[in-house]
Amino acid sequence: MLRRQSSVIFLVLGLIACNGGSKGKSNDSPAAIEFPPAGGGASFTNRTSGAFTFPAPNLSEDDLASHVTGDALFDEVFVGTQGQLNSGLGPVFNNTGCRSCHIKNGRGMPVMGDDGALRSHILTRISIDPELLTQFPGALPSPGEGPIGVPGLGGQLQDYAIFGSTAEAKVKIGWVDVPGTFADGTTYTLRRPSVTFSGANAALLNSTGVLSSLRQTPPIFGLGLLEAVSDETLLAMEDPDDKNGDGISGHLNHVWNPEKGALSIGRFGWKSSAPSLIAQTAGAFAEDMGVSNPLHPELDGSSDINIETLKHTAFYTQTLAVPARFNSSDPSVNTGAQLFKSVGCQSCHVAQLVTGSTHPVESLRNQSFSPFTDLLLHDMGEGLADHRPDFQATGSEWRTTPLWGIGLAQTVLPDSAFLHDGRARTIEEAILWHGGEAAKAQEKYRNLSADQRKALLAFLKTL
Amino acid sequence: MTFHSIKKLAVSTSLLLMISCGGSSGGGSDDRANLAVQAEQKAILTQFANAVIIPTYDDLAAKSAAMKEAAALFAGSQTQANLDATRAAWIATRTPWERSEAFLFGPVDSNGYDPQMDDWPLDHSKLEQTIKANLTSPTDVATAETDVKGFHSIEFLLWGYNKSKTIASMTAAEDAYLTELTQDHARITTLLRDSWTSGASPYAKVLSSAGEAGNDKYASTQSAVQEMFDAMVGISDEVANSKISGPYKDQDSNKVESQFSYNSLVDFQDNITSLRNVYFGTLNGTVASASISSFVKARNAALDAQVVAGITASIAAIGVIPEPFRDSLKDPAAAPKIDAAITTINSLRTLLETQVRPVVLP
Repeated sequence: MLRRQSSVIFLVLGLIACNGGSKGKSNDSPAAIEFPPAGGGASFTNRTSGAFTFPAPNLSEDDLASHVTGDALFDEVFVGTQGQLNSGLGPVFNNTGCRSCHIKNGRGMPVMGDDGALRSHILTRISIDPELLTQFPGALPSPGEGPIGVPGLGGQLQDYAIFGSTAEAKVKIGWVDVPGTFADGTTYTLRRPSVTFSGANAALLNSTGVLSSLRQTPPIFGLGLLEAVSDETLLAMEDPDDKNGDGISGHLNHVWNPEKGALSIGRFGWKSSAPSLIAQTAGAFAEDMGVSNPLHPELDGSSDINIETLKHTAFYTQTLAVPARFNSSDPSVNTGAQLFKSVGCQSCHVAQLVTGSTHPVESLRNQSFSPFTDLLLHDMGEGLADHRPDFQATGSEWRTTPLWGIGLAQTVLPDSAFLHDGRARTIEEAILWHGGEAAKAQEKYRNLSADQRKALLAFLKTL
Repeated sequence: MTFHSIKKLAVSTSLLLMISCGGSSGGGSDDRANLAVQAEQKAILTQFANAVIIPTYDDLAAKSAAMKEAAALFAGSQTQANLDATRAAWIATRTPWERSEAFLFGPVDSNGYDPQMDDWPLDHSKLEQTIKANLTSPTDVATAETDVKGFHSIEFLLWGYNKSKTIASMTAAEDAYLTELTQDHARITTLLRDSWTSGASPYAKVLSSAGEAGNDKYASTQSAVQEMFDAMVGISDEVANSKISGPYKDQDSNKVESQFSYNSLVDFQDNITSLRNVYFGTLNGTVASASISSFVKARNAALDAQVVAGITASIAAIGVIPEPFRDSLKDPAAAPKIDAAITTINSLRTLLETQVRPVVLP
C-alpha cells in the first residue's frame, strides 16, 4: 500500500538529512545507576503509550525499510474467506493477526474469549503427561522430546473458529483470591486463575493425563538483542548444580529448532521453548492464527504465507527499539536500585548482557544492554508451577522475564498484567508470587519496610 | 488490513522522522521540566481531558444511541422517512467520532474499541455471508469479526454502492443485521465514554494526574503531554498521507473511507477540527487559557499564529475538493486541489513536528 511506501521514503530522507540519524538519546543518569543503556544502541527515549512501537534508531537504511515492511505485515488481519487478500485464517485460531494480541507491542491483558473487542490475549498450551502416554492411543512423541500433543487437538487450544468450523473449546478464566501478609503486618490479596473448559472437548481436556497451561502475550521489543547474545555467553551463565552456592541454579532449555531440524538453545517464550524469532513467529502464525507457513506447511507442502512474509515479520520483532529508562529526580529510585541488588533480584534479573558479533542484523552486534534477565530457567516454586514440562523446563521452571520496559507496561496497555497467566495485576503482586529459587528474595521483599518496598517499586517503574 | 492499523503506523513513522533529526525532540521522558512548566502542563492535561475528550465521547455515545433508536424505528416501519432519519443519524454520529481521532490513545486503542467501531475497509463477501447466517443475538454481533461491523458496515447497509440502496432493495436479513450493528455500536461507544469517566481508574483521571505519586501510567506531566502531542500530530499525517494520499496515489476508489455516504471529505475536515480542538483545549474554536495554543503563544506568538493559520488553511483546502472523493480522485480537474490539500496539511504537520514540538516539550 502506498502509505507504507511513502513512510519508508520519509524515513530514509529523514535519516539522510541527519547524517545517518542520531542514536537514541538515553537520559540515564550515570551517577545514580550504573547500568548500560537499556537497549544499547537500540535505546530510544519515549515514555508514552507508543514507547514499544519505534524502530531501533541504529538500523541501517535497508534494515529500516525491512522493519517498516515487517510493521505493515504485523498489522495484517487474516480472514477465513478463501481467495481474498490475507486468506488462510484458521479454520481454528486464537486471534486474527499479530497486532490483535500484540497491541502496541505490549504485554497482553488477562482476557480470554471476552465480549469480542479483544478476543483472547491468553492462550492455552496443552499436552499429554509423558508418564501416562500409553493411555492416549494416537499420541505421538514430538521431535526433540518436546510436549506431546493431545490427539485431535495438538499442543495448543484454539478457542475461535471461522464460519462453518467449531472452536476446539471455550476457556473461561475465573480468579481465586490468595491472601498474604508483609512482615510489617500489612495484608495483601493475590489471585490465581481457575480455568474452566467447555465445548465438545471439555471431557478430554479435564481427563487425567492432559496437561494445560496458560500463556499471556509478552511484550516484543528488544528481542533481537536477546537473540544476538551468543550461546557461549548463555552457557557460561548456567549453574545447574548451584556450584557457587547462591541458592540459584539456572539452566538453559534445549528445544527443537524447525529451521535446523535439530536441538538449539531455547530463548523465547515463558519456558524458553522457542530457539529463534523466526521459529517463534512461524509457530505463532501456525498455532495462534492457523496460518500455514514454510516452517509449518500444509500436508501438501504449500503454505498460506511465503518465506519473505515470515522473515519480514520476524525481522520486525528483532529490530524494535528498547525504551530508555526514565531519568527520575526522585531520590528513592536510587535506594530502590540498591535494594534490587541487596534483596537478590539481580541474581536472576541480570542487569547487563552483551551481544555476540555474528547476528545477521549488524546493528544488533556487540551491544552492551540492560534487559534484567539471564535467559535461564529457574524453579519458581509450587505457587507458579503449571506442572506441564516443556522440553527441559520442568513443571515449576520458568525463564527469567526481562524487566526492561516493565515500568511502561501499563502506560502502553492500562489493563495489562504480569506473569505467564496474567495473574499479577501489579508489579508488586508479581514479586510476591516468586517462590522456589526466588523464595529467599521474596521473603526479603516481604520483610522490607513500606518505604523500602515503595523505593524498590519506584526503581522498577523507571525501567 | 484494517484502517485502524494504518493509523498506528502513520503515527509511529512520522514521529520517527522527527525524532531521527534529534535535538530536543527526545524530551518528554523525564521530569526535568521545571515546576512552573509542570503546573502549566497539568492544567493543559486537565482541560484537555475534561473539556475536549469527555464531551466528545459523551456526544459520540449520545449520537450513537440516537442512531440505534432511528434504526429500530426503521426496522419497525420501513418508510423512506425512517431510512433518511437513520442515514442522518449515521452522519451525525460520524462527526464526534472523526473529531476524536486526534486523540486515539488510551482505552479506544488498548481496549480495541477503534476497530470495533471503525474498521476499514470492510470485507464485502464476509459481510454477505454474515447477513445470510442470520445473526440474531447481540452476542453474535459482539463477537463478529471487526471487518463486518461498525460504522462502515452500517454505512454500506444504509447507502449501498453509489448510493443505490432503496427501501425495496433492503432485505429483511439486512435490516435485522443493521439493527444489531447499531445496537453494538451504541454499546461500544458507551464503553468508550465510561472508560474515561467511571470505574476504578477513569482515564481522564489518569491523564490529569500525570506525574503524581500513585500514577502508574504517566510518571511525569511531560510524558502525558507528549502522548497528547504525538496523537495530535499523528492525525495530520494520517489525513494527508493515508486517508487522502493513499487512494489518490493508487487511483483506487475502493480505499476511500466513508465512500458509501459520500461523507469522506467531511470526515477529513472533522479530523483537522479534532486537531484544532486538542490544540485549543475546547470544542468551539475558542482558545482555552490552559491549552497547547496558549502555552506556545506565551513563548512564540508568531509560531502560534502560524499553527492557527495552518489549521484554517487545511480545513479550507479539503473543502474545495469535490465530493464524492471516490470519484474526484480520478478527475484530472480535481488533481491540483487534492495535491494542494495534501501539501497544506503536510506543512501543518511539519510545522508541528519541527517547530512547535521543541516549544511544547522543552
